[in-house]
Amino acid sequence: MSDGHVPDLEEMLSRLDQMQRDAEATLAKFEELHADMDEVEAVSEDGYITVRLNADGQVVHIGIAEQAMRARQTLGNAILAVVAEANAAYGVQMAEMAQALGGSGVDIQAMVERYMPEDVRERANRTLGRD
Amino acid sequence: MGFMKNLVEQAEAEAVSEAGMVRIVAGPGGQVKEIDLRNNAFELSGVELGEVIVATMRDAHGKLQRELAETVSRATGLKAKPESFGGGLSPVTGEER
Repeated sequence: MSDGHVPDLEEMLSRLDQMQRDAEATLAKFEELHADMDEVEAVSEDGYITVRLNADGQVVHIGIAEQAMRARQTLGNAILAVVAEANAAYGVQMAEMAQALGGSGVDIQAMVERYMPEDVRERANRTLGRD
Repeated sequence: MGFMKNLVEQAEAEAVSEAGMVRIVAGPGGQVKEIDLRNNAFELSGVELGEVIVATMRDAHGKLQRELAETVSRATGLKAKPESFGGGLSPVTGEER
């Protein structure tokens, strides 16, 4: 409206109507993409610890092999590392969803590449089975 | 808004499982900051311990979301819902144990 044009009521209502239609379309697309989102499962390098997140990013399962129980002092941190890996993979998946929703306006993938350390990103992609 | 950002970024909540076997410190957006396992945790099988850790994580995140909602409501006078602080996670139901 910086050009001095004052929209009339009908024009404003039509814009609002369009905004509502756009929001509904985005929401429908979100529901569709969210339904397609997979569970994320990350496994420690030795294969003894498994962490699974559901499509909402919640930790729903932690599998600990009996061999890992012997680690005692380091087990907590080892689980923490696998949870972090699962979260990173989930974050990559969410970013892809956001990119699909946002169209070409914002390059979310580039933001992830810029801010997520390369080694974390590589592990996340491996977790998602993309190496 | 800076105050809010700091509040959410620095938020953490602790939950301890029954018999104190597992202690979890949760951060915002589904982060897990600490997992402490006491000696009695190793009396469980790996499968059981995994289940206890998952349940304690859920408690810690639920507590964090409720505390953040209360703090934000107090600071702003607006009614904040706990599920607003899940960082994309679905709402946590049930009470902390």
